[in-house]
Parts: sequence; structure tokens; C-alpha cells
Amino acid sequence: MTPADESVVLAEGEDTLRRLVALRASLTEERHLAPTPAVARALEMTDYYLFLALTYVGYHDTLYPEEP
Amino acid sequence: MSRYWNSLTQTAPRETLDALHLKKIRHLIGVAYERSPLHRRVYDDAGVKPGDIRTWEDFWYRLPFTDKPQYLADQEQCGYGGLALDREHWQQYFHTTGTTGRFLNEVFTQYELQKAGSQYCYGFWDFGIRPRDSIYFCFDWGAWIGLWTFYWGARDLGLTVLSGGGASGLQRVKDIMSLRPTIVCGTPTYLLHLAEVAAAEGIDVRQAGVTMLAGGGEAGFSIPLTRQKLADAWGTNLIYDAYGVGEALFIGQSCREWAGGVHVIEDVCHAYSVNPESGEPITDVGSVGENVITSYTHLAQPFIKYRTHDLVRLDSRPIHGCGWTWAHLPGTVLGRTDFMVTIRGVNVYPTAVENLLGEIPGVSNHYELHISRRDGMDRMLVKVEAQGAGIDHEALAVGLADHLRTNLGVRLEVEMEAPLTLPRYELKTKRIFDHRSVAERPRVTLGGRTP
Repeated sequence: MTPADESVVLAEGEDTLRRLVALRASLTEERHLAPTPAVARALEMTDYYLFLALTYVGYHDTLYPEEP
Repeated sequence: MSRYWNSLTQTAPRETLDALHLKKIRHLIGVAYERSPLHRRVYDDAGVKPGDIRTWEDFWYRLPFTDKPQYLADQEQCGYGGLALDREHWQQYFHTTGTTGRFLNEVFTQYELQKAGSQYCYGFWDFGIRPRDSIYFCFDWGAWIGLWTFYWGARDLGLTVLSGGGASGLQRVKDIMSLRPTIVCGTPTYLLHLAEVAAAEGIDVRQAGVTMLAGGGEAGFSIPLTRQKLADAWGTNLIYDAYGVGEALFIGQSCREWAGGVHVIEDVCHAYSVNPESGEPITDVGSVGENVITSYTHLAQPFIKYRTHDLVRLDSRPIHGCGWTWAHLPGTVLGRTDFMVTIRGVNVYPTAVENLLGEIPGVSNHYELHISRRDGMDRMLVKVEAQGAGIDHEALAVGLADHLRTNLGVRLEVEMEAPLTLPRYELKTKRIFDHRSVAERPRVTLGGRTP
């Protein structure tokens, strides 16, 4: 990878970043399995705050939770 | 407990922050090119593809600037300028306040509003504000996003929200006296006005025990004399300033050390300063330039390398004791590129005039600046209220004119008005009235080199 393509890592945040990315993957799975719109919507809003947490630890693969 | 809301980014080295910014900006350019017809047109017209922007030099010199007229023109066609996300994702509608005369329609997603709110957490936390605290809003919850973002910040931090929506000034005073909020939130001129309303009823708002005054929308919270008047009126020295532009939400927030300005909240935006005429980046902290921002908050309508027309000094490596490594804007907004007036060869910025008004005893904080053109020359009329009755208006006007001339290098016309003559505003106070035609106003175009 060129320097422009290398990931940027924040000191002391790397482990948290990894765990939160895994957590978001699990949350995404649960959203797909949601039995009712109420559950789906609640989990969607959960994702917004989880994504905010990800940005605090330097996540930059995407910029907003709706981004494909 | 941590001193910092998010030390991971708030105290990160400048090199790490800049590397993160470049990653985000490059990604955002690609997203905007793909999803926003406006950005695709702008970049195609400039012969730039997202993959061309790989370095800071590419960003500074190859990527075109964006400006409000482009969004307004797009709005004429589509209803919203620079739209990149469809209606399914919209959470709330706002519009800008029209500092430059025309409103921009804005929509934000739920995530964007939460992220916008997060901007306040850094500064509030630094001031010792915690979930046990409360915030009273002097706000009617209209379509101006400014104080709404404080609301989202209050929610993000877990504060108790106290609404003054729909209430008269006197009712708000009574609410504050009985509810005793930690923070009172409003524009600086409105908070001064509230203290006047209270005093007229024999109520001393200093007895309400308010810990902090917070707000934005105007320059007052960063102007030393206005801060002092607020502190004297409300009995607190904790005055919290927030700076932003309606399009891209708030950009800067106070830290507890108050070094005369605000920090750029670099988790939510990138800001840099340019020469307004050439577009060249300005790195010298002593030089005034135009603030150009890229927002990581407003993604339904991306704002990338967006001209704010705000004049700032930007210190990318501030050291004033707070520990934040985020860029600092001493004095916050020093003026506007489009409100500059040239009077007999001297460039005069309205903010410079405001700074000087409060230095003359007997002159109040309530003023208007009327810019006009006569016989091919710019003129500025300063209308200002005297403070209290029984003052010799003519002598005061002469004294003020002399003071302005000494400090600005040019004499302005001054009209002294009786107290309570000029209108009061709940939201942004309209101070600057530019009666010049569009053709008569200064035009500054930004170039930018292409290889």
C-alpha cells in the first residue's frame, strides 16, 4: 500500500476499534433477522450510536452508517 | 475520570490528525462524486476525478472550491443543493439564516444530528458539565439549526433539557429563576436582552445560580467586552462559544482555558485558511484568511472545500494549557470577506467596529451598521444606542467617531440613538445592512492551480 492508502491508527484505540467493528457486524446480522419493524428500527438507531462510537476511535472505512 | 471527552482524537498528534483528515476527505470526495450530481458537475467541469486527489497538494490546488451560489443554483433545480441521500434517510429539515441574503434548504439524517450534537460534548465535558446538569433553551425551535444542535448535544451528553420554546422573555426569566438551570443557551445579544428584561422587572438573574452561558450564531461570545457584559449580567465567567455555518453545522467550540477563540472540532470537520483572492493556503497563524471547511457531519448534502467567507486566524498547533491538539481560531470569526467595506482606501470589517463600540463608556451593545455606496465610494453609518437616559448624544457620537477613526484609520458616520430604539431579536441579531447592489459589493474569486 502506498502511504495515501495506509490505514490511520489512533494510539490506544486499535483494540476497541476491532471489537466495535465486530460488534457492528453482529448488530447488522440481528437487524436482518429482526422479527418486527419495531425491533428493526430500534436496532437501526442503535447502529447510529455504535457508528458514532466507531468514529471516536478513528474508524474511517466509511463516513456514515447508511453508506454501503 | 478522563479530563477529555475523547482523548483518542482530541489529543492526537497533528500528523495523525492530518493523516486521518486526508483519508476521510478522499473518501468523501468519492462518495460525493458518486451520489451528488452537483459535485459530479463541479469536479467534471474542473477535469478532476476522485482518484486524482491523493495528497494535500492535490486537495489544495487541484480540487475546486465550492460555494453557496452553486448550492443555491442546484436548489433552484432540485429543491435542495448538493443532495446525496434520498428522502428515506431524512430526519429533519432546516434552512440557513440567510447571512448572505438567500436561504439554503437543508436536510439531515438522524445520524448526522447525533454527530452534530457530539460536537458540544468535547467542550461541555472540558467545562465540567455532566449528566447531572441541565440546559435551558431560549429558543422557539424554529427552522434555524443553530440551537437545535445544542439540543442534540445535550441529549448526547445526557443533560436535562428545559425548554423555553414559545415563552416570552419575561416568562423565560421566571423559568430560569425557578428551574435554576446549569446552562442558559441563546444568542449573546438575546441573553443580554433577557438580563435587561429581568432588570426592568426588578429581577436579578445573578440569583438564578446559572453556571454557564452558551450559544452561538453571532460573534458576541468571542468578543471580550460582550463576554464581560454577559458575565456581569448573569454572574458567571463561564461563557461558552460555538462557531459554525448553517450548511455544515458547528465547526468550533470553546475549551475551558478560553484562549480568545474556539477549537475546530476535528472529529466533525476539517478547516483550513486561504488567501481569499488567490486561494493559497495560509499557514502563518498571524495572518488572516478565509475559513474553508469540509464537513464530516453533513453528508446528505456534502460540503467539501467549502468557502465560508468567514475571516479567521488558524493556529494548527495551539498550546494554551487545555491539552487539545485541535486547531484553534483566535478571535473566532474576525470578519466576512463579503461584508468588507473600503472607505477612503481603508478596508473596514464590521467585526472590527463591533470590537471598538464597547470601549466607549455610555455606548451600548445594540447597534446597526449600514453600508452604502454614494458617488462611487463605500460608506458606513454606525447607528448605536446610548446606554441609559440623560446622555449628550451629540457629544457621545463625536467621541465614538473619534475613537473609531483613531483605531480604524478612517472616520465613519455615527448616529447615536436613544435606548431601546433598535430592534431586539431572539435569534441572530441583524446588525449589518448592506444597501449596495450586488454589482457594487466586493467580489473575491478563488483561483487554484491545476497542473
